[in-house]
Amino acid sequence: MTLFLQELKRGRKVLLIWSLLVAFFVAVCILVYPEMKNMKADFSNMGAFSSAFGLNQFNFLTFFGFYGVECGMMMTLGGSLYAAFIGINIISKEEYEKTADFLLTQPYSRGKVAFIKFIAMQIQVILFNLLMLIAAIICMIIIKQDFLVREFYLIHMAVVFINMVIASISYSLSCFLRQNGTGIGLGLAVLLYFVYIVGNISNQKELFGKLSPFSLSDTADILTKHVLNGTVIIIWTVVSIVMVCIGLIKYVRKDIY
Amino acid sequence: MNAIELRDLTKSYGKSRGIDKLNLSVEEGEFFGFIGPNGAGKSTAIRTMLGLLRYQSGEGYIFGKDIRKDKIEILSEVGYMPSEVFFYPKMKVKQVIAYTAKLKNKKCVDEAYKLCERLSLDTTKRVNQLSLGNKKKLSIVIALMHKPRLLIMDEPTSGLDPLVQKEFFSILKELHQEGTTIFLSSHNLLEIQRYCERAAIIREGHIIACDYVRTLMHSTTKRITLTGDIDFTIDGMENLKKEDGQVSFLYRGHMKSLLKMLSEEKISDINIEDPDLEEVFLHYYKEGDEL
Repeated sequence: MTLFLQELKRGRKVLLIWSLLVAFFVAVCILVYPEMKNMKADFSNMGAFSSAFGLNQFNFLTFFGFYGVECGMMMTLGGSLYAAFIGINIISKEEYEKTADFLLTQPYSRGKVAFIKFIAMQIQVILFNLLMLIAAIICMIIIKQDFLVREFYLIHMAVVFINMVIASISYSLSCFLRQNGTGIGLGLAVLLYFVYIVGNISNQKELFGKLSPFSLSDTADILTKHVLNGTVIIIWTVVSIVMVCIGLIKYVRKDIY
Repeated sequence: MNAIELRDLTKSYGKSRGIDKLNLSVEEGEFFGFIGPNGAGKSTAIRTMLGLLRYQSGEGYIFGKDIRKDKIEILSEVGYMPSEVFFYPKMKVKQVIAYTAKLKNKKCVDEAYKLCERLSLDTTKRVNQLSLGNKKKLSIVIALMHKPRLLIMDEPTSGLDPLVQKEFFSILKELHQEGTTIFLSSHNLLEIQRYCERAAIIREGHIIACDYVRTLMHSTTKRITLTGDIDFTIDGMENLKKEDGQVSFLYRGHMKSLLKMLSEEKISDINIEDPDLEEVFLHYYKEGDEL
């Protein structure tokens, strides 16, 4: 518990800054929604741009269409950048800040240290998402929008899942690194998002969809099918578990210089 | 029981050597010195014992426990002071102490504060506000606060001023008297000579000498210093130096033969003594054979 709480304490400033930043943009989006209701034609006739964000497949200017695309994008991308940032540093930071000597000579197994850090990281990702959810609900109350709607929670569940996948993959890479890998982590999140966007404008949407966890946040899918894409969930859950296990095995056997 | 027992322990870094079939025994309760220059394998040996490095072959035991399988039990009985000291920079000293006590799951905060007082360490400062010397003091406190059975220290006194060094060794002597085994790795041979009972010299990854410090120094080799001049050489004579009317050399041979030669020379004074540990150390490193 000591190590777990310490990890949460160390990460609290980053959590607060990222949450406030992303929550601010989400809040602005929700609060301007009443002004945008009458602009449907403009959004659905923007060619590849509309396709990239799925605006041509559903009524974008229903509240949850708008929320899923605009706020969903901010939360998935913003949250994933945050998840990548904490994931890529949570293990390697001890090495490049040279505190690993202190931590790993305490009576804890290395596997336990790594596992506690993993849990602390995922808890921070969940806390981030909870803050987003609370911010969104407050703003929806302000604009008198009903939030007890299944699609709203499906959008948030998709965001949490994507953020946790990105955090897990970044964490596994962190187990291999000895230096600051922030660039690698953020790059990974952006790359997977880019794959999703490319998939949306290509003819191979099904294939590309499986190559990026971000496809789970496809608002068109959520609003038309009213469920999350099970195949994407299974693929990326397996990828995350395998990568985390590889990372843990590497870390347990790794030389600490 | 041996506090430390290493058998043919080998750790290499790819093609680079770390330690090569290292054998070492340290008895429980000993004040043991570990000597060697940079790159000899001292830190590799220590870090392998503590599980920070993964060895390729051999065996290692601390208090009879396997250094790989029983790592957690070992670490709860060991205090470690690394050569380079790093703590979480934004933490205050008192927070580092409290955090360490919780990690160790031992009620040792009071002991830590006593040590801080003896070493004049301000517990209200943040780690990033501490000088190198004060970081070293914090590292001493962290290593000693839980009264470990075995204390492993890697170059502990570099960066400490002489007064703190004196207090530090006085603390170590007290712990030693209470039964703590102390494993001191140091470049400072005077420290080893002054405080350690036994010492090992490591060269190129393996132990080339391990004995009581007084035995290492009281060897068949003697340091001979003469006032006057000599005009001969004899088998076993090394490092001959003539300076300001004085002649000095190391001699490893029959004393009778040397005295016979000297009796025919113009000398007014003679001093025969054991070489100091530094000379012993240099000898091992230059010659690579037994003294």
